[in-house]
Amino acid sequence: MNTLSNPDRRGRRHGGSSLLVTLSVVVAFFIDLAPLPASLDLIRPDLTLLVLLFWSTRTYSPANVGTSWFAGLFKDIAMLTPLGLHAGVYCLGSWGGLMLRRRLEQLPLATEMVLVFVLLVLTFALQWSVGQLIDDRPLVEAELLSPLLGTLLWPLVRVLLAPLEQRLLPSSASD
Amino acid sequence: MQPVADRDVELFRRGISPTSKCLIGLSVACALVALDGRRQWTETARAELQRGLAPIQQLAALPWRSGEQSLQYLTLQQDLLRRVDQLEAENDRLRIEARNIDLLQQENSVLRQLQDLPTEGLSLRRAVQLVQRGRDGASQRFLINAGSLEGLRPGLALVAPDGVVGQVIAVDAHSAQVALLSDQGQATPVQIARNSLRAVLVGEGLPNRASLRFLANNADVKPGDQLLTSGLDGVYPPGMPVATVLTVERDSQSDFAIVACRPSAATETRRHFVVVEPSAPAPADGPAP
Repeated sequence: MNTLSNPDRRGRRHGGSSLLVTLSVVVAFFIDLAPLPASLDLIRPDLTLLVLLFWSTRTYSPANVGTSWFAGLFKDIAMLTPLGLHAGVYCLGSWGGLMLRRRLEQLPLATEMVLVFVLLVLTFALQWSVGQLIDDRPLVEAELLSPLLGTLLWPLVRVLLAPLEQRLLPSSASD
Repeated sequence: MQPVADRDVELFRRGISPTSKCLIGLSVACALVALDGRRQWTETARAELQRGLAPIQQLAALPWRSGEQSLQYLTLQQDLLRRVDQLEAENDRLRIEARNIDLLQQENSVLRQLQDLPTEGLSLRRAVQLVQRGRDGASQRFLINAGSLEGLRPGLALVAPDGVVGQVIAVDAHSAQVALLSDQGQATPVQIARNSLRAVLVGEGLPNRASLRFLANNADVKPGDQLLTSGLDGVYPPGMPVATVLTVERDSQSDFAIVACRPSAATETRRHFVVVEPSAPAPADGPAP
């Protein structure tokens, strides 16, 4: 069914999908805020970024660069990092995801993971570089594991968010 | 397969492209970072936003904190249970120690009493301890923990703070046999404290039972009289408590009164005694029977 021919249906679907995406980002945000021992905190993968990346690469996701930017801003406030740091990083990551949209869905999981790894490394490098410029923060070697662990978590994120993604598909596509 | 209509929507969607959005977002982010670096412009805004986010942060930490607290509670419970076990074991040990201390105090008290025995007329003192009581019918004897190697020999007297106990009759290297006053056939020369009347106390072969023999029917003796050692046998020093008269029976058909006595020394309850020897040579009355 053509969604444009039925404005009510499209509007309802889009509002509901936004809520689902926001909810998943909020849950990831909550998990990121959970206190962990300092040693584990260093290698903790950025789950919010992973979820945002997932939604950025999905065709029918309403998530966009703006969503990621605001999510990053909230992360900056919550994590007491310089305002705009996570916002910029998430914005860039999400843009990368958008550039890979459709193409990523057709790739095998291994290739998808490699691309995700590249994106995570880039965002990590950007985040660290800005942090280094601002606070002259040294690099802790354990932190390098964070993108790797994030990549390893990618299949799990996909599995967990797949049911939500199914609900975003228009009825004609899901049928 | 993507529906044609949706693809058309995306192709002809108006608005800013993702790349432009990204560039704008990055620019704003860079500006914010620069401003935040100075900590002047953004401080108030950050504080307000932080205040708004605080409940969410607390909510996010709640499950983890609850889990942590539950874990702490369980750990605490286990620690407490282990501690209770340790304390109970410690309590048992202390109770045993306290009991031992009570026993030691009692023993100490007895030893102090022994230490306070009159030393006049005594040349040898050795504290000894009861090892075993005899169970041989009429014999009232026991074994003490000192023998010939400790200087003991037959004939020495065994005394307690409350009176004469008996006489050493046989010795081994590290132990000695003692015949109590109540031992059958054990004779002890005594005198009544009230009137210095002399008599011989003979054991009946029963616990704490002895009697005065060869005391005339009209002798001045009555229940409650205290009997002391006369010192005539050269075994016991004179003047030590020996026994108390319990009953006196006077039979007109007999020449002698039947006088039942109870030895003064509480041999049933005591465990510590002193072996003594009179320092002065015995008078010519001969050794004790």
